[in-house]
Amino acid sequence: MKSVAAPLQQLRLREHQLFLALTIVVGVLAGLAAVLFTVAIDRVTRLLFGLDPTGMRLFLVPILVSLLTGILLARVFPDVRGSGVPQTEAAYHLRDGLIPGRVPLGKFLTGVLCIASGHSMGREGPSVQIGAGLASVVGQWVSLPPKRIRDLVPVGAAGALAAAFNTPVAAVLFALEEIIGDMNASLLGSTVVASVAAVVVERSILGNEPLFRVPAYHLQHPAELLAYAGLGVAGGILSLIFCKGLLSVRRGFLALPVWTRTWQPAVGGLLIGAMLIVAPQVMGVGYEYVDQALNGGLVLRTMALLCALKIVATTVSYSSGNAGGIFAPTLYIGAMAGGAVGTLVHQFAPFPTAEPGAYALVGMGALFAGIIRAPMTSVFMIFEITQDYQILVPLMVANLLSFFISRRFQPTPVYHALLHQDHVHLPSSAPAIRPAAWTAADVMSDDVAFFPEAMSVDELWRMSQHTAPAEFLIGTRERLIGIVKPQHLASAMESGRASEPIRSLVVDRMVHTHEDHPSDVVLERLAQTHGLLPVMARDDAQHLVGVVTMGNILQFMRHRRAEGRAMTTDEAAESAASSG
Amino acid sequence: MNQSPEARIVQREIVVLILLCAASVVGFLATRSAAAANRARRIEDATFWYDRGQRDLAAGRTTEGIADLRRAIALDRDNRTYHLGLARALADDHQDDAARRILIGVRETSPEDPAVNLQLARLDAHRGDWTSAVRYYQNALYGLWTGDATAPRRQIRIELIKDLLAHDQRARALSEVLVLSNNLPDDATSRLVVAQLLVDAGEPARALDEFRRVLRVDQRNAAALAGAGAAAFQAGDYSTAHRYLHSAGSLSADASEIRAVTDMVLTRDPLQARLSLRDRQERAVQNVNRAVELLAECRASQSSGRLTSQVVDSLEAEAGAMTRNLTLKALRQSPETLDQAVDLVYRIARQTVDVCAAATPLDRALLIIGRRHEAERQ
Repeated sequence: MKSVAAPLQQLRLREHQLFLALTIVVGVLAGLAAVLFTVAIDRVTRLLFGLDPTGMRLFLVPILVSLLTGILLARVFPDVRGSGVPQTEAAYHLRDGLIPGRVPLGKFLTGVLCIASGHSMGREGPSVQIGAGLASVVGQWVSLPPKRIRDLVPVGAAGALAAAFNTPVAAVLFALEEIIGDMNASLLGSTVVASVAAVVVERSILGNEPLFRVPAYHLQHPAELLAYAGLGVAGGILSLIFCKGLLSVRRGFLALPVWTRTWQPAVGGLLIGAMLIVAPQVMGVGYEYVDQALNGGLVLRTMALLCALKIVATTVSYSSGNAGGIFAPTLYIGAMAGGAVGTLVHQFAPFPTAEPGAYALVGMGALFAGIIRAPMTSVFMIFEITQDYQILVPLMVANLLSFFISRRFQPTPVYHALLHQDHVHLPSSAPAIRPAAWTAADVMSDDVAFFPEAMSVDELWRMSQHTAPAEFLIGTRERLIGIVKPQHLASAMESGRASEPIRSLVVDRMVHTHEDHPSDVVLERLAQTHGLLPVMARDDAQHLVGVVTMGNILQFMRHRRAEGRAMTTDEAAESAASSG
Repeated sequence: MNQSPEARIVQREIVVLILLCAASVVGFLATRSAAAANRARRIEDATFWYDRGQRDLAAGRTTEGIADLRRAIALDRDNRTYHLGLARALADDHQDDAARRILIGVRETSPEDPAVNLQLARLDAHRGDWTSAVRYYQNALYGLWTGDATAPRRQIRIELIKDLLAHDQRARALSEVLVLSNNLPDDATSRLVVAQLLVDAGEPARALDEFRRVLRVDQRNAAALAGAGAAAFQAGDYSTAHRYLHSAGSLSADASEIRAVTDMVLTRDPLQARLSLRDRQERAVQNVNRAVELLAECRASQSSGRLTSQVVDSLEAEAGAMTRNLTLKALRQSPETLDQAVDLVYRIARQTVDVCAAATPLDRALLIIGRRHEAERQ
């Protein structure tokens, strides 16, 4: 045994050392990529719009560039639309961290083109995907074990975000809170190392400049906390408006025929072009205007208007399938909303108050907590930006209120909801209280019948007279349209809809489970069905991997009991033989 | 030479790590170069916006000018000239709070910048926060200047003194004037500045000394002669004031007024030394007559204010009685009548001058004469 253990120990040690070295390299590469991404967006924006663009140029550039990016996003890089954060989460949780090399490259190219052409999107989300993608590619290149490749993904994401935002602590927290979904993750050390390496690179190239220059703000009066609480409520409501608007407009775009996907970004470009003529301030990342709001450089009317326009512009840009994040727009909307609330408070409050800039700052955090749903990241991010402890208490008050309001009325976080729209279902980050007796994968069977969606109600009715299944699965194994319940079929026949295609009876929300769901979740969901619970793939929730019925569960239990009894007999025989 | 599989894996990992490190170094150099080029371009663009902003401001397009300056700052955040330009533009547009915030932000990175402190001082002086304004003026004076700071420091101190005087902080202003006078070159222009500030600070005797220092070098210096005359007038030395003001030649309107009043003080004072009784009597009668005229003007005027007709009647009766008593014979018997006449004229002038009609040089002279003798009596 000793001769095997020593090399194994050595191998494990070498793997740790290699992983540490790769963590530093990935941090550096992610930092470089994030800096280059920022610089490239700046250069291309200048190239496309010039120094002082005319109205015609503001209108045409987003349209023409979106035509090109539309083709790239539809034909060459189909997996780099949108932010990049949800895709990174999906890669981490569902694909063992495997990200193809074309993803970081495609995200860089399309992200630069989309943001630089005026789309109201942020650079942090794409940076996260680029960093995570580079990390995964490096891991695959070095032939790391699958678990280690997976571990490198949040490391790269943290490095990229740290460099993009110059906030190393917030980047680490974001990787743990959002990407991994576990603040107690064992990857804390690695993300810290990568984050530090990335920030060192970023600062040595761009200098130690905070993203925003903010004067020191203080709580002027204890009653001012009420005003900040009000801002938290407003932040929560705005977060809801933004999330629901974004999801519903995107749902509309996704419902269009697949061939339109190539041209959808250009439709977004058309709307953005029209908006830029009226309000060029909503163009791109827009941090210069956030800076003005933070320093009291904008008046109430302008801030209120920009807040509303940015919500619309970001919704349009994102929903139409362009590549770019919602991180920066979130901060922008928060700064404008906070600045507007702060101006009102400053004018009308009967007690001394801080400048509107302080409210803009807290507003940024409140919207971040409400939309991104990462309250710890939000608090630390604002703290790192301001380096001022005084603002922490108002910030926490506003953040928590915004977070709770948003969670109450929009239970699914926006990144997860966006993944749901793409039929990707992430596992829950809630820790299991005790290990499950079994999971859906243990009990499911793949012996199922599918019925084509074009089949008429009458045909299905006649077939059901012979088979009488609990529920009918409509579609194919790769693309399950939904389920038809027997009572719906019967009522359709009674109401004279016999000739209609069966897809007209499909229920919208299909109760389903995933392979990793534990026994309690499976039983709870099975109770909501008529006896047939579909098991769907997590990375493609239209792909059926099996079904669970009560019969499957009973069969599994019987089988396990038999196995247990056989094991006990063997053990007893072994024991008798050894004593004999 | 056959290597074990494990050795081959280790070798491959080392090679890959070396390649990754090399790629990182190359990437770093390339990114740094791209970032530097981008930075240079941003600075160039910022210059464009700053210049355009200045042109807009000069043409009176304040809103556009301010927006341009903000664009310049967004592109080149470290340029203090842009921040100061924007702060100045905002202050000119009466956005004092916004201007102040910008300056405070700049001051956090360079607390000893004289230009920033000076602008903050002006803003605080404008909003009446005098303590803070003086502190910023002092910071500007003792800040980190590049090159020869003598002239700009002197200008700031003069500005500070003027502001102190405008806010009636005479004692503080005087101490600053004394510091200024010690640090000035010994030329006529500088001395005249100090002398005028001393006049404004209510130190006419010291001011007169400064003017005389100039006149010792240049006896014909018109500004020094006029200034010395005004200083002597303020100090109550009317003979000296008369001498300087009449030597000055052409005078400003204010100086001419002072000269006229000085002449009247010297020619209409009945209690002046070395006068015959007849001269005294004539001056006293003339003065009482002018006092009666003032009362008549008040009676005719609708704006007599607090002066009621009963008071006018009473004063007129007193003046009539005084005129009758101002004979040579009466004056020989009771010389104190002259004092009473001066007192009466002073009381009437005090109540009527600048109330019923604009004061003439004679009226001002009558007030000065009355005030001077009242002080002597007390």
